[in-house]
Amino acid sequence: MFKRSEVKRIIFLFFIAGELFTNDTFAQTCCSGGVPLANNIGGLPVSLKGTWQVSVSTDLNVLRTLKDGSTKLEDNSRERKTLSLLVKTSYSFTDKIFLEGLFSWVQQDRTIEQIGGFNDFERTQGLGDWVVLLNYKYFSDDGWTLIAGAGPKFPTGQSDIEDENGLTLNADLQPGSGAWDGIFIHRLIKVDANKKSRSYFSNFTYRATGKNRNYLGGQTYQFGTEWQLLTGVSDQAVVGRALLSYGFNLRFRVAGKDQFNEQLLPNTGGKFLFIMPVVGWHIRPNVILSMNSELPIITHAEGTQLVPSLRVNVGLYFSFGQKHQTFK
Amino acid sequence: MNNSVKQIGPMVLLIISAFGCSEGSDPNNSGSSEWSIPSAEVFDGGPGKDGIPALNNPTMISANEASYLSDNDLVLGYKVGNDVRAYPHVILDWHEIINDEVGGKAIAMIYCPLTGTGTLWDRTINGTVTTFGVSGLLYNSNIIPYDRLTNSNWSQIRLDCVNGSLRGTAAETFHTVETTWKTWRTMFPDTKVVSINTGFSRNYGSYPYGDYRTNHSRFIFPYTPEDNRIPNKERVLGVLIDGKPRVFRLGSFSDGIKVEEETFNGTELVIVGSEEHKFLTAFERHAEDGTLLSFEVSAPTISSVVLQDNEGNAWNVFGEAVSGPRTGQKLKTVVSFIGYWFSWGAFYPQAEIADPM
Repeated sequence: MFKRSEVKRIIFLFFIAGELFTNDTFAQTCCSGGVPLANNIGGLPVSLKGTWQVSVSTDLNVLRTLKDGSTKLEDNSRERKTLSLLVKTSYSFTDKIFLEGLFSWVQQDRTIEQIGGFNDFERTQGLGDWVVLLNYKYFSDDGWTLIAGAGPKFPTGQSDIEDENGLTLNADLQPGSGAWDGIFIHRLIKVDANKKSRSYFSNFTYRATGKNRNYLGGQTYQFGTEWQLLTGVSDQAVVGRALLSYGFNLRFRVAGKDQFNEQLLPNTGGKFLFIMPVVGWHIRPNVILSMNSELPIITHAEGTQLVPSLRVNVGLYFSFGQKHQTFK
Repeated sequence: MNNSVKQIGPMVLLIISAFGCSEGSDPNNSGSSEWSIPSAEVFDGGPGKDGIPALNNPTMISANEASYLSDNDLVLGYKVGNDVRAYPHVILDWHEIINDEVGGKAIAMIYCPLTGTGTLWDRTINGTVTTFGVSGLLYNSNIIPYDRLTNSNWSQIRLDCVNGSLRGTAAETFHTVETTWKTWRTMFPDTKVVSINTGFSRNYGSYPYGDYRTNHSRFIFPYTPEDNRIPNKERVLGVLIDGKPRVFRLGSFSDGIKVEEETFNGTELVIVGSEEHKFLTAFERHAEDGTLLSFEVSAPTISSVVLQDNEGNAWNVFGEAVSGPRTGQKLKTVVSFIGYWFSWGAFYPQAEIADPM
């Protein structure tokens, strides 16, 4: 069990995280963010045979920046928030093969400021889509690790939630996509030869989206194909008596336009570059409290749409069995 | 391992607790599931209620100040006495509804970029003035405005309330003229026009829907039924006489300005328009005292005065007699508006086409 002081620190950190999620200064809105599945796969440390890893995190994606192409429009009247509970787990059957799963519970909020001082507010929540990836990893003697994985995204989330008038809400407000996707991931990790705690990595993720063929009762909807490159460096340091890990990442995401009944939807898709600081506190050798945030540096939206303003992820990581080899 | 598993439970609860947040919502948004149209065909367009913000009492500027407009930009015009106003598509593409007051009349200019339909509605409902907003919903690809008095949803092309406490109420419309900016300011040089200083930050120079206006096979939302008698995106004038539709094509009004007279559903109509000058409008032929008038083009060049009759009266594009013995009188207007053909075909499947060309 945790010591009392450790529990207090954990509760304090989650309280702070909760404040972030509910504080109006972060405003709300919605759009091209969606459920952060592709953002969150492939992040568990590289591990050896018999290791079971679990990460439980909350992820908040806030969209309240209205952009026309690359130009920011001065309009704060709309906000979208996607708040997710993510359970990520992996089990290594051998030193080279492991299975990874990502399970989500999603809450989507849309707030639109209206005349009269009140807001139009829509909220949906429920199980999100789930992802399972089979991965193969290759270690080299000089500190390189290469992992390639692939698997489906199951349409486990509900995609036909209705509003108070009995009308099905828009696709990007649903917890699930209603479509089977194929996800492919490629990870490259290099441990610094001069400092074993430091590693460099890149993750390339490609999401080939499928079609929801039962959208709005017989229509088809397809989210835009997406790929992203996450690259960065991580290291560890001892601060006082605490072991901390920290990292600095860049994430480049390209999303294609959505399609409704085979027709490209205007004002969807775009290119996004984010800066992503990461910090983790090693509470135990096998327990890490981590927090990362994501801030947009460059955004180019297709047409005019809300784009991501801020993303925050706070989570706990546990491993059981064999020690992991590196920590991203 | 057992201890570790025990630790996960409280942590998960802590994380779930972070989800507990609440928001204030629209107190009028009581909701009603009864619709006059098939609710399964009412779609959420995406931006949400008021996600496309309607304008209220917009700033007006003179024609000379409207440098943001090009000659071929389409505008919807309205006139009450000497108060003449233009509502450009390039602004309506981004706002869809403009609530305004013209000559003491509370009006809402409602324009749907996806069906290309512009209609002018009375904002006074059951004696109370309200404003209209964009519900974010679409039926047959057409805007569903909502009134802020009762939060009821309306169908623009059906011209009635389809959901809410006012369901079944007909929209009161005013006569509006759609044409190019060049033609409009030639007709009415002293016109006022909506300024791009709307209070909203939008790129008014860009059209938000790509090639939607000209690509006959490009649609964003479904509609039914399809009618291929005319190219889908051709802009046509539809006239409703006691709910019965008749459609007029701009291409039938070539060679300068042209006038047609015909009887439709028991009503004597005069239609005047010009493919060259991009306007088309219709009136009843009866004068206020019931006299049936015969019309012809007033002059070959474009001005606000487009008709003259067998009594020597000259009439402008709003059906107002501007000279002759009936000066000051008005022709009775008919419910009519311009839109993409596919929308007329979808809402009024039995629509007659005046000249299939």
